[in-house]
Amino acid sequence: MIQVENLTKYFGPVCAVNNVSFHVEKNEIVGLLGNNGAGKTTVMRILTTFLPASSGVARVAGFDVMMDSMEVRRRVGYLPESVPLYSEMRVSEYLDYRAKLKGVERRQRPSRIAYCIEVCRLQGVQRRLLGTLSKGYRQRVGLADAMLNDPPVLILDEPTDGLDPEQKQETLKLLRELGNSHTVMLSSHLLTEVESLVQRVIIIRRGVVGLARKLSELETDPIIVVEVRGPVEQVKSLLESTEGVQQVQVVSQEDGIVGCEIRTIADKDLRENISIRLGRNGLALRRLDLRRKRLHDRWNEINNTDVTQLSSEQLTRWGGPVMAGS
Amino acid sequence: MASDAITDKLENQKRPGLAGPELAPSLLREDEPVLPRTLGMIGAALLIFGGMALTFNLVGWPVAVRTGWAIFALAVGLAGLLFHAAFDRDISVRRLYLLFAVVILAFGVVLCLIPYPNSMGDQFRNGVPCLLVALLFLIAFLRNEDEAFVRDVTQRGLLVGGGIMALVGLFGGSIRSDFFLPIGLVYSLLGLLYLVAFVGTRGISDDLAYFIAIGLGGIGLLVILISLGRSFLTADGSTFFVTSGSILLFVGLLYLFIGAGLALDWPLFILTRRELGAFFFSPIAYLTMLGFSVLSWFSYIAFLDNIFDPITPPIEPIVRTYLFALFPVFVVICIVPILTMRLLSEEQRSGTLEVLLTAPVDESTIVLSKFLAALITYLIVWLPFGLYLLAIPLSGGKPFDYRPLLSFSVALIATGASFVSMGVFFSSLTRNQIASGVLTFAGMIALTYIYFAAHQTRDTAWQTVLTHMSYLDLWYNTLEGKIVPRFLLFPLSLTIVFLFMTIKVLESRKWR
Repeated sequence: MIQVENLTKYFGPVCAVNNVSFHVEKNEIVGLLGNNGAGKTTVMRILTTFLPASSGVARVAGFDVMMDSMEVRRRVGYLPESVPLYSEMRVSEYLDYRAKLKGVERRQRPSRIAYCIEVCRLQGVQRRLLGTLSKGYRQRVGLADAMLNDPPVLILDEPTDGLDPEQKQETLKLLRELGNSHTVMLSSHLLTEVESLVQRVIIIRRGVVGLARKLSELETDPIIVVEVRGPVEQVKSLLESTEGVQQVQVVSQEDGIVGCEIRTIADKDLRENISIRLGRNGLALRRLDLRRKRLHDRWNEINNTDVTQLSSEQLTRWGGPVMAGS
Repeated sequence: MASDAITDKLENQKRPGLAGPELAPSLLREDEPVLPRTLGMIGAALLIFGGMALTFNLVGWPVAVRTGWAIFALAVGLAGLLFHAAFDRDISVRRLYLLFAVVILAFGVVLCLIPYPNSMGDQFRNGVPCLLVALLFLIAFLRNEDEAFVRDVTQRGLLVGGGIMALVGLFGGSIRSDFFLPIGLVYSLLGLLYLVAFVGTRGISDDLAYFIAIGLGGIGLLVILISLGRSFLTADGSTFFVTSGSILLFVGLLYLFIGAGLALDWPLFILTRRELGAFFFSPIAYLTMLGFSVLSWFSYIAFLDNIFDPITPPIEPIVRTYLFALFPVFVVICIVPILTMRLLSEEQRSGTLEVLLTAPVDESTIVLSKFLAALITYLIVWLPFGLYLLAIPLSGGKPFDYRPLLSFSVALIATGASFVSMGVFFSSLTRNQIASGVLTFAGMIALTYIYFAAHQTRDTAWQTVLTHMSYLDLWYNTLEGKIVPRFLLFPLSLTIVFLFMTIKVLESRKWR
């Protein structure tokens, strides 16, 4: 649905997006993640045809954003970052105007607008002036606007920004539902927020893609977490001597309880072996857990890498499963 | 109002420990409408003052304030009240204005219908302003009213009233020429305004409003056919066309165009309607119109002194001295920047341009819609000038030659197009409204200066060139009843050049 190849964007001498490539499949929810100033908004603006790329190709729904910009615009619902709205219009008026502009047929318009108002929970503010809405409501009006003509692709720039935790959950739930029949691309600078929602992540930093993979492909490299009552040295040596263990790291010791993280050789599940060994030695097991390496660790790796120090060769290697420095 | 808690379920639950449902996210509280309330108060005072003075004058009691000034106070007072009605959303205030509007409406209807002193229609001249004022207050009320039922009833009232007036005016006028001028004409225009208000406040997505808009276009077409048919197929056609047929044709065209403009969902029309809405929902339009009507009043007073000067009686066309004077020129120079400075600057500053340009509309449509909306507003702002002219026969008792006004309106549209396109261009350059306003103001001064340059230079070749460029020379010519196409060439080409450049400025973000 979205294909981006070697996209580069310069603002004068500043390179905002540097040689970015990724693709998004149909009906996929993808998170474009990165700190503030990473280039998320610029990528989205290029995809929604608002800005042209300096070089590279981007296609949305099969149309080139530069050559067939009108076709792309018809198929994309866009929620811009700060949700600019005409402050003198009323909510229902504005949605009506936008529906007309996006070519929603007149007969379907009232029901379509009513539907968007309902799913975005705007019923109570339909007659309010847009200028008097709070940030959360503005965000929802923007989302309703993006959904009006039921476009196959939704590009949402920080859809949860400015919402309280409960609203965030509601919005994410809505996006999850939309993801069943739409391609949704959303950006965020908060990883934890969208981790549970997205099927694919694209992490960018200073305009460079650090990671662009499906989450299902990402979750490898397990860590075993144990908590055992007993002396530290004994526990550690016992665990280290277990077959298949590569490294044991003591992460906590409180009230005689030792917490350890165990990395294993190859992709082996050693939990049963560990519990048997600990039991034989009379050590009480409080917790035994297999934890996948989380997106969060990748995030930290990417954001701790100094992009400017990377050679161009290393840069092109970014995006693969092996990270520079990992 | 109902609570705005996060989910419906939570809203409906009575959660223990909380006094009511959670109210986050908060709705921002609206600003206290201090300015509207102040203006409304001043307006009410002026209204009472003017009303009393007028009544005393009509009854014949000697008072210091004469009829003209009484009407002036009345008009300014009504404008202040209208401003208040449009911007104070408080429920008691808006319902009060609904009551006010209904009372005026009823008064107007009674005036239009009572056979006093001789026959029905004798009080027509006093009734029509009441109907117009009532309409303005009803629109302001509908803008603020939240309750669906009250809105619906009010809108249907507009529909019925507008429908009756339009049908009586148009078809009564088609049958009897002596009825059409002036009563039928005024009814048909007033009916059109009521119906436009109905469609506009209801929105074209509503079925009824949509069919009414289509109906307006249909009626317009029918009237055009009737007027053409009677003019060219009947024996006395030529006299019919000259007396009322041509005006009937014009009204039919107006119905057709407005109906189509309301009903069609072409991006250009959608954007232009929104733009016009933005003008009239913001204080700018009201304040400029108020300022313009006050200034044109002074212009009118000066003009009256001039034409009733017993020593040098004026020569026709007398409207020339009215329009070709210091005040109108001064006002035009100021009003163009005020109307246009916001157009694209505001979109750029608030970021709405991004939303607009990622919707399926192209740059030229956006620029054209801004231009059209600003031009229409510019022409509407001129209306008070025209309305005062209607009062001249009342004050002087003598009719005047109105025909130069027709040629002048052509010049007004052409020069207005060039001014407005210049304003649109400057507003596309910067996101700062003030900067764009100042640039446009400088441009207006420069265009005005051409007139003086043309009259100061001794070089005849330069003089010819500059005269062709000067809008004041064009006005002067048309006010003498002449339309010289070559003088229209400069403003029209200026319009095209500015619009083209504006489109390129918007597109230029794609080259950078």
